[in-house]
Amino acid sequence: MIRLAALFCGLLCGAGLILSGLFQPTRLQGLLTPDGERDLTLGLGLLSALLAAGIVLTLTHRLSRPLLGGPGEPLATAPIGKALLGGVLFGVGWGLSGYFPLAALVAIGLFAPGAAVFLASMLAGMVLYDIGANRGRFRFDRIRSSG
Amino acid sequence: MIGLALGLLWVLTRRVLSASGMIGSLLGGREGLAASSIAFLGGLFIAPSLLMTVGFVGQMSDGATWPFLILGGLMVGIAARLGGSLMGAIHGVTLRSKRAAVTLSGIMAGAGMAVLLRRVLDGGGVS
Repeated sequence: MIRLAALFCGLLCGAGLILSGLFQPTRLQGLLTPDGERDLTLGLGLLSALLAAGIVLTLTHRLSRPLLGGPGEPLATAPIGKALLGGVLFGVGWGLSGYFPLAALVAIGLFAPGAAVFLASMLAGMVLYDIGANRGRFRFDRIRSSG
Repeated sequence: MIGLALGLLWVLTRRVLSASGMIGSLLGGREGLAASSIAFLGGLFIAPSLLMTVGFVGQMSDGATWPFLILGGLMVGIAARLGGSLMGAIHGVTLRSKRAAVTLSGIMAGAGMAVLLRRVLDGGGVS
């Protein structure tokens, strides 16, 4: 049931990204450095996502456990400096490549080769960080094969 | 729709709707999250095909050249491990987390700088 819910949310989110056009890598440049017309799609889209999410989460904030059970995950608890560094790095990466991870996944579904390059590099970045954090050793035992 | 998906996912399964977080949880993280991650990512992946079967025509062009895509991907991957992701930050902001607000501002500032940098490089680049 949890998997079904996750699948449904993935479909819903993917459809939202596509129908709004938010996944297009040119949106960010259109918003920040317009050629002629300023492209507000990205800003408005993210804002409406924020609003809709805020409404759902505010209405349900008294629930202490997930409705469908399961382990769930905690929100990020990184120290504020790390959160800022992560944010800036993410932003620069997004600005350079035009993709953020959700958009890249949808774009792969539309057969965009660049999105695959982006995602492969993202995986490499994660593995590199883990190697660094484990002082040079990549711990394969941390890879989970099933849930 | 994106916001609705984010809210639903959190309420039903207590997962943060973030592709980098989901992919990250496949590469090690808390026990028992892999299956729902795969299900969610699968949903994202097949959404375009499903829409195409009902008549949607997808037009796709990459917004950057390969060096930029690779560099950007690496940075986003490392950022995700540091706890920085766009959807994660949006999620946190809706739960009024100060940390998430800091991350989101960082993302916007970083994205602004990078877009300007690309503009300069593209404009003054050798052709």
